[in-house]
Amino acid sequence: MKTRFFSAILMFCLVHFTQPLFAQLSIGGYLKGFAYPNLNAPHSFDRLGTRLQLTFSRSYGERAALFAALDFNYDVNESRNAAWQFRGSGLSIYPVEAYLDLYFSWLDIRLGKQFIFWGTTDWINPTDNINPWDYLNISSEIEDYRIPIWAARANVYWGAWTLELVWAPEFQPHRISDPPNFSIQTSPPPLQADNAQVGARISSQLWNVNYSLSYFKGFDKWPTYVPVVSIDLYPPGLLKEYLPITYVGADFVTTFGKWALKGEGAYALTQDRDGTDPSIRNPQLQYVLGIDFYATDRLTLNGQFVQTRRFKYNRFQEVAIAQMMGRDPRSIPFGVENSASARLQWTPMDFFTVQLITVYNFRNRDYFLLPILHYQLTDGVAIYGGATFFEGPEYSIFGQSKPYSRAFAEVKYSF
Amino acid sequence: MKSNSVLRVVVSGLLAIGFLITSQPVHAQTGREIMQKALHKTSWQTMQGDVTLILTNARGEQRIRKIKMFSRKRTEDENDMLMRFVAPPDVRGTAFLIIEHAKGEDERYLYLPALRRVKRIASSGKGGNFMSSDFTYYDIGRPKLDDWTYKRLADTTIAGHLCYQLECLPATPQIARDTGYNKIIRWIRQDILVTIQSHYFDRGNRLWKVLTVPGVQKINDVWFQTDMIMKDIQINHQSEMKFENIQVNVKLPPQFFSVRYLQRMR
Repeated sequence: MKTRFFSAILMFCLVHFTQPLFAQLSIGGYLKGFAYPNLNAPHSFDRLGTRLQLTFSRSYGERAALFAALDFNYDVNESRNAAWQFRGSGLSIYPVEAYLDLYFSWLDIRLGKQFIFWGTTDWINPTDNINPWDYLNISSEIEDYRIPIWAARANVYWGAWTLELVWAPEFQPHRISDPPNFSIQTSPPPLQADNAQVGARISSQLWNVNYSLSYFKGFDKWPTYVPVVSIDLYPPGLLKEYLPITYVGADFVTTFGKWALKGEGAYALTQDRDGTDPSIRNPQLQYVLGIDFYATDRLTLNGQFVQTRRFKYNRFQEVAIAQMMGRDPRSIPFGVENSASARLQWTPMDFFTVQLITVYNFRNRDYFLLPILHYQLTDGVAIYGGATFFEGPEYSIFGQSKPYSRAFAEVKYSF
Repeated sequence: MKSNSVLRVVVSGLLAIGFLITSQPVHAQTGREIMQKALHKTSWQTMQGDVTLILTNARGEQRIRKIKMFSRKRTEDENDMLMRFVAPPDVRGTAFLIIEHAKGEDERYLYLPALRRVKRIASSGKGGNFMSSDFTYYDIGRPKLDDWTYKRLADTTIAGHLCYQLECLPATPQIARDTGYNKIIRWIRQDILVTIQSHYFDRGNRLWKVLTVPGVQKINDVWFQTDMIMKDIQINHQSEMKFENIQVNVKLPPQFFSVRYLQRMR
């Protein structure tokens, strides 16, 4: 909350004190009403409210540009005791993005709050580890479910090569629901120079293939829960930590006719390097292979295969310890797990688009389903409808998220 | 994959819109000779302009898209094009880049500001619709002479202009499949050699679409179709493309047609 408040102040100062720079400012944005009824929880609405987003942009020819997006969000839903309490309720004002672009002949620099997305595949991107997700707020709007971060990014261009360098001083974790029935203590990495996260990505093209190699060193956005042993503590406690992690990854994409073939993978070097600590994720490789088919202008299909391979992994040991902690052993993953995802985008009639996204885990047969309907009522006015369904056994990844299944409806006026 | 090179089609067409032109009347006798002259090389290397695309469906509902367009002839057979939507506000910032390769696949990149991501995409072919309009990439481009056979029909007058009338048939079944057309009838103005009307027939030889060209304009000694209306007769859908502020041989940065510039705000 404090960060958000200071961000808003900083945003105001940026706009106020740099007013002369804004002489030819372009102002745009949107106004939308939203209602997200819960599908499985006792509360009738997850979110219900209105948002005004104002965007400010100013281009200084070939040399520089400014961009900022400021949200005024009013949510009538009380979130204080909910898993999504970080969202706040009532009126909240916060910058979504605020950055300065500087352009040079061989270098572009972006400074400020921003989104940085890496990877070529759909929805599951092993190399995309800079901006965290808000898994409790998946909707049609990416700025709802991805969290912007303060960062400096430099893109260096040399012939067919592009080197992207990222420095992000602030750590932000994924937003997920904590395990129920535990007292949670959170221990995030403090904001200090040593804890800055860094990334580098070099990309190029060979024949008809775009590819990149990437490196990221920072903190795992997935928490590690360490049991807190104390006879005085009830309910039992868990210490929620975010441990250092390093990712080394690669991706590619190519096209042939109506087809696009793409792939992406990353090796995650976690702190459990010898595989002996069951509370910490083991080192793992995750890769995705996918194909897009542009059947017609109105129909696009995507299918992907996802595999996760855990190294130095002893499942018997993990299961034994999980049982001691009262966890369902069926929730403990295997050393190799397979998943699939699919996306369909179809425009059955003018100005109306249907999108269907799904991720399916083979082991527990749990899945995530996101249908999105979009109708452009008139220029600048759109209606969105859809739902996020989490289904599966209670011990599975998506099954655990079942209480967060919700529908959504939005009316959005852009200006 | 020269034949799949949609960009060549798009760029030459969208901007220079084919069918150009010397300013002298032509006395060609055969359909092929007329078409050859109409497809005469253009004189520009780079070009930019503003396009207004008006889509009207069967219920009379209209959507208007405004696009800023940039184009470059990279080589004799290869063109690049970058298009950026400036209106309506909900699609503003969306940008599309096509890099043509004479040998091999063309590259297509789409920048969606809502996703803050550049995506490399495949194409649905030359018969694919340009920006959800009734124009296909093939329609708005400059056709390859050898893709069609030409038969000269009786000269007629269209909108007060004496026109050559050509019946164009696909030279191969593949061309028919790629374009979706079994036949095209073109009316080409005899004075400036610009097509001002076309009838497109589907593969069942039924009239499918009608192109009319209410506006032509001479810019830097090149005639452009500056207003084109394509009507799909079968579904009663219409698209109009209007070109404004066309500038030729403008100076653009060397790396302008790249992913780097695709995601910039200008």
